[in-house]
Amino acid sequence: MEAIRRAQAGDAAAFEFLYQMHGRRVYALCLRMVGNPADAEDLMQEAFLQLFRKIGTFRGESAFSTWLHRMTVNVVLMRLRKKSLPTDSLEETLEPDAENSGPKRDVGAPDLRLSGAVDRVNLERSIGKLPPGYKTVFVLHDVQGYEHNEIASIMGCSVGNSKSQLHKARTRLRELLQEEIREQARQERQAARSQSDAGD
Amino acid sequence: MMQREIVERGVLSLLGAGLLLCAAAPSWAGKTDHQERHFTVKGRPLVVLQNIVNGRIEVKSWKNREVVVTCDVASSKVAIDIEQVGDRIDISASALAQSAQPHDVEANFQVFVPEETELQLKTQTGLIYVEQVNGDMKLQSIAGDVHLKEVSGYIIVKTTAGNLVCTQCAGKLDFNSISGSAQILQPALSSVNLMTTTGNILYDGDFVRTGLYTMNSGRGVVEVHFSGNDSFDLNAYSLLGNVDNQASEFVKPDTHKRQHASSKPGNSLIGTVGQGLAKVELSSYSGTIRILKRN
Amino acid sequence: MQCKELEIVLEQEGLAPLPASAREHLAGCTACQGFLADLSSIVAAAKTLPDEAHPPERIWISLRARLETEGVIREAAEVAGATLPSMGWRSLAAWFRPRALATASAGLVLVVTAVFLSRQPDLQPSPISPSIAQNNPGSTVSAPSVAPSPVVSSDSHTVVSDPTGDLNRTEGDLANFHLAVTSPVNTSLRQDLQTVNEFIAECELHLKQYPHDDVAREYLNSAYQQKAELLAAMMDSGRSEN
Repeated sequence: MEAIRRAQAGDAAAFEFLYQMHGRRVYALCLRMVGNPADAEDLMQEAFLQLFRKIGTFRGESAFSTWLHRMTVNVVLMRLRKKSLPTDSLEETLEPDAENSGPKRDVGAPDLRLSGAVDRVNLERSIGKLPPGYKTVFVLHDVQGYEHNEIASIMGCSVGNSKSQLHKARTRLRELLQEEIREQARQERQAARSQSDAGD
Repeated sequence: MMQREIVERGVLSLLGAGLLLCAAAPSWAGKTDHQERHFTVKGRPLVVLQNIVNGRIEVKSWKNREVVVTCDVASSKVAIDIEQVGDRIDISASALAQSAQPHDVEANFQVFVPEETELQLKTQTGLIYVEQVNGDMKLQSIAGDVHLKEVSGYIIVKTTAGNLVCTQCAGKLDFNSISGSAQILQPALSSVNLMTTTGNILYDGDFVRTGLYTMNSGRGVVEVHFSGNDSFDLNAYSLLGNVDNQASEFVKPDTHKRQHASSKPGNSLIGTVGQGLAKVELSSYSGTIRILKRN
Repeated sequence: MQCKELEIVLEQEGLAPLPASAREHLAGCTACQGFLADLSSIVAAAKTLPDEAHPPERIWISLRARLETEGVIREAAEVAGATLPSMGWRSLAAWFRPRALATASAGLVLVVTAVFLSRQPDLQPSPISPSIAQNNPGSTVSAPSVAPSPVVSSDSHTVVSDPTGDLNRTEGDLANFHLAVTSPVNTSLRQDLQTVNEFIAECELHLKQYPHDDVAREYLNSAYQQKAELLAAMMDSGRSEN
């Protein structure tokens, strides 16, 4: 709070202290959301610019990190909208879900078990494929450890909505990881077939 | 001529004095400031209201796709900020002067919202009142009471000393307080989790099938009134207090062959009403647990 | 319960301990068992992902230049590119204002609580005043007024830290910030603090006699959590009034 007060007075050292304290988490969030360092750097700079310009309006009614993350998420989502990504996925994950939205699980269908196959590389790749809204909730909750009430404050949604989106994100990740496993198995079979053909 | 000048001067003086009085009147009269703001919303709005000063928050629903915030402020020592971003409306009231007296820093809010609205309300000593709103809500108060009527959704209520009265509410309810009591009347709740250290708990209503109801009080009384149509498994336990079963003809001994922790100290009652479709767990550290059937 | 109903429970409750009806369904449904195990694996793997990444230095340099141009930064740093370590111990000491101390103290309450509760069955009871020992459990028990004392482990006879003393000190520090302010809010908060302290004392006394009583321990856990939240609320109240 002291750093915030001093930053509100224009103290350069206070600004830098806040940047050092929160910058790594903000950068990690931007990087996961957009997938490439160049865009992540732009977004991080934009988020901090907005934050520091508005720091005079911060009154401490929420945690500073929550306020910062809210701004970061807004900046990222605005950028994604401008890039004309399918808006269906954004709206779907930020509005109360209709009955037919979200990934479906085939009840009773044989499932491919993941346990033992969830490594970090596969998981990072799959997170990159999630729609922005799902990705944001999953990264904030399961990677960065925010609680649902904080995520609700960051994303401007309800606690119930946050929980629902998190579950859908996890379910979708499961499907993506299963596809990864199937694809890897397919490639292995193809490689084995090519070797045996070459041997003949 | 002279007489006319004297009269004119006198009139002017009187007028000047009157103007001065009018200018000074607001600070003497200490009249309240009334503000009203209208916000158009499209989807399900989220209303966040943080009343850091004292005062009452009242939220009711209406049919319009609009959120209307009216505020009555006790003095100029209170700052009101209201901001809309999309379907989210942020309202805050804070004290401008650190040395202001409590009666000077008071803001009372009345908010009209669409029926489907999410709420996050926070106050210190005033009443929070919500009526006929459907949506998830998080309501926090230090010493103020929370009264809910015909609301539904995932309802979270946290107070330190404030009491909760919840009438004809549906959905899920979480309540946590240190000295506040809870009265849950005629509910249609499928999940209830009530925790208070010294307050009392009264649950007077039905238990939904497959619902889960957990009520804990450290020192207070936990009292449940059920009806003849209810169907639930009951596990009531008081470590140092009594379990007063006034419906023994309806509460049958445990039919699901659960293991009883009979070796632990305290008084317990484990039984089933009807087919045991819901689950009711009542617990008190040193207070009394009372089970009654409604007539 | 059907598979679809279990999915609704998971959507609403996450992977938290499931209700009995859900556990019953899981016991007999391998598809749902697999689904739940997969979600748990995903969550466990997500926790191992780094939640921080190092941004290039040029970002701060560029950001600072923009802020200075716009006049948001009004004071130039004494040393170009000043970073936190070079601020010096004096500056760091200036950060430790009472509110920051209170913030750290509230966090200490939670950490100390966890340590205290995890060690509780192995420790001998700390000396308590005779008046508290003689009180009936159901009656009002005032908060322990004995000075914090070290506790001797029964196994090793080594002196370990006294968590109760730490909590009392934390509470004393916070109480000092409210002495001058007698608003209804603070009065209410102080009363509730006394209430929760009395209840904690009651539970601790009971657990000394019945150290394996899980119910009492759960109540004590809840009371500690409530106390930590209450101290945080007192901190917020002090900040808004000061």
